[in-house]
Amino acid sequence: MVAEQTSLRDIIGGRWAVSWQGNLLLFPISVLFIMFTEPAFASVDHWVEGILVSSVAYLAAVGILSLAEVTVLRNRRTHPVPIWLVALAGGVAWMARSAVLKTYLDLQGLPSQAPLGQRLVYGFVLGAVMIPITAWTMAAFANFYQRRRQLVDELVHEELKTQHLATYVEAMHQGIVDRVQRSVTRTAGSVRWSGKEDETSLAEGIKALDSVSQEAARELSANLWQQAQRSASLNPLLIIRSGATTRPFNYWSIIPIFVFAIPVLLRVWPLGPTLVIVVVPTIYALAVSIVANYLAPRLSPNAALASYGVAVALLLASGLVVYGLVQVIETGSASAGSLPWLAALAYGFIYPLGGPLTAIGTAQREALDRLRSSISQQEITNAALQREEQRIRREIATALHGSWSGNLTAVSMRLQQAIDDGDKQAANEALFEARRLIDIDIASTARRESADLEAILTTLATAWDGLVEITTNVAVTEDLSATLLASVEDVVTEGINNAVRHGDASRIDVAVESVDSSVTITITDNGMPSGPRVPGLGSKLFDSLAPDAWTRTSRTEKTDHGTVLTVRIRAAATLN
Amino acid sequence: MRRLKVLLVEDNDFTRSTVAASLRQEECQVVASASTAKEAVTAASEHDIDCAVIDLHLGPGPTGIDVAHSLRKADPDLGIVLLTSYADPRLLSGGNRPLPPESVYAVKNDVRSTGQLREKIDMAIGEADRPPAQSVGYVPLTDTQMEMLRMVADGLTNVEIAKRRSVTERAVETALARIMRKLEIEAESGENSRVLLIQTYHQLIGGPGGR
Repeated sequence: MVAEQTSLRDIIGGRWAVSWQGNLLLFPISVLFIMFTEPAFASVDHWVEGILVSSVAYLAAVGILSLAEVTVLRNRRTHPVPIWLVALAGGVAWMARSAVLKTYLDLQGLPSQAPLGQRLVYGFVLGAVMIPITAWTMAAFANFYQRRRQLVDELVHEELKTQHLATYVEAMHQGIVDRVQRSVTRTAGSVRWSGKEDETSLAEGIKALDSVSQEAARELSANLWQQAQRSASLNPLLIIRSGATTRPFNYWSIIPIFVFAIPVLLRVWPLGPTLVIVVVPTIYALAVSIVANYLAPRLSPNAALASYGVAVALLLASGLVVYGLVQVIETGSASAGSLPWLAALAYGFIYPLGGPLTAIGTAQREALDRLRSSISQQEITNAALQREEQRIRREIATALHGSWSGNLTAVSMRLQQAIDDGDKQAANEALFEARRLIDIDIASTARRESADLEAILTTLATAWDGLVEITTNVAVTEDLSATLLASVEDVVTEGINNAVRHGDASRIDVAVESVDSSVTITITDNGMPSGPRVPGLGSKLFDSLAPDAWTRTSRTEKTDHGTVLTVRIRAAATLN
Repeated sequence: MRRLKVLLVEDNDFTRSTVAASLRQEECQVVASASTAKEAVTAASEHDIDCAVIDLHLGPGPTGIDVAHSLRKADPDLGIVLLTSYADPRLLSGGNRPLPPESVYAVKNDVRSTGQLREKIDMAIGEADRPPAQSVGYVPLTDTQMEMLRMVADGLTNVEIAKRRSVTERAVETALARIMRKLEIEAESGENSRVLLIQTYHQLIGGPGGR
């Protein structure tokens, strides 16, 4: 990336101090200038000759500039030269241009407006001003295009990232879970069991996701870059339209015309008539442009554009004003015939360019701002998509592996990705989260061991809420061991399951009380009597927990059928 | 295609939203979705629904089958689809009730498109022919064998299983060998048969692993 140019010296004395593009830009201006100011080329018969001579003269200037480019301006790209040096090179080059022109005129015996010395001075001044201005203009455009390219690249990168992420997320939404599952199952089936199922499935899962995402990304159109560039292009018509509808004329751009016209005319005319011929059309042009500038923001865009057109036509008519003045003054100068044309060119063409040229700077800033804004929007979208991606990755992992281990697997996925991306910070975060998850698991295991019996029973009852009404009553005075708590939970779970699934109960009362180092659980329900119930695995469980200590009795004294299950577990009893 | 009103019961947010989106594509209006038994019963009482699509595993407490029975009791004409990753409901837990009559058991891995899901719903409400034999319990194991397979998957040793089942260790070994034959599991040299059993169990419940 090239460092952004900041100082005027960097801009004018840098890469663009001399360039073929700049030379090309100045070529028509130089030729037109000679054609309009030299009386020798005023008649149509001498136009071709004039164009050829002025072209050759300009080539002389280009030659001098090229010489400067390989000598005093050689290292300007890395070490910008002072502005005065650029002006000096330009001045000398345009002096050569004047010298060639004067030599030709003298050799051919054609009329000349000024002696050689005077021409050299004018040539030097013109070159010393025009070359730095051209360098500044070229650098401004180059800087714009360079910034635009960087921003477009950045935007395209972000857009591709968005597409990549969106595809990733979309693919996951569209059933990637199923695809990953199949892939994992296939892989697990093809490798020998090593006890590292998670790692295998994890790698396969990531591979499957990446494969889907990359396939879709490859299908992206390559014209993303072109689209972005088009959106930030400078359309000349739009720039003119923009200038015409806001502030069509830049008054400052009349100053160079004014400044250059006086010395040019002074070469052949006295001061008085020169001032009249320069000042009157300048005042006329300023008046026209002031009115146009006043009207532009107050009119509709189309009307403002029409107003701009009328103003330009009126400015072209300044040639008529000059023609009238020449007729009145009657100087008899040979070059007087070309003056109206020169005035029309200066006031009707060069002066109106000032507005659009000012608008170019604004248009450049706006184009770059549009790109920056698009990048910001894209970055926001990407951040949201990344969050979504992470969330779905966790969901997938959860779906694949269960809740806690799923989260741990999701963290492993992130860790793997961070390692692949070489993102040290993300890897550290994933490691930290993994440790936290493991801590939570250890803590929850510990909490379960010290869990409150009442809380356990309430959780069980709440889970059945809506299907069956369960009340709990705990009368336990001493602390129960974790093992005993787990046994009580198993018995109550099994008791509720039996009552609902085999007794079709709608109401269950659970009572737990401790007596002499043993716990008695009584589960009373309003379902069918215990007789028809299948003595299944629950009975086996009760046997293993409380052999010879549990009883099951049928409750028939109520109007609705029901069952009372009583289990007594000795404190020493364990699940295993 | 008739637009059906569906109640979706699923405790996993991600799966719930995915299934709901799939159902919407198939001319089904998901009038309510629930993540617990209570929410399901409440939603069913508040809405006029044609069919309930219920996940088998709803976390601790009642299973999807318990919810299905409760909903069917309240509305005998309600169509029921049990949508689950378990190839057999007995893989989840023992002592389950049979499915409510006319309900449809759909294994997620076998449902390859949203259209197939709609077909299951149409079967459940009687608007499509059912396959000759409903595939519930197609894992060819008895209830006892299924319970022993779950114990193996839970990590219990043969001694522990024997104690739980009140049988001898030798009986457990014989039973496990029979289970392996029925599931067509053959341990090759260097492979641990117990690990293969666990892999198969995980495959049957829709998780990773298996062969």
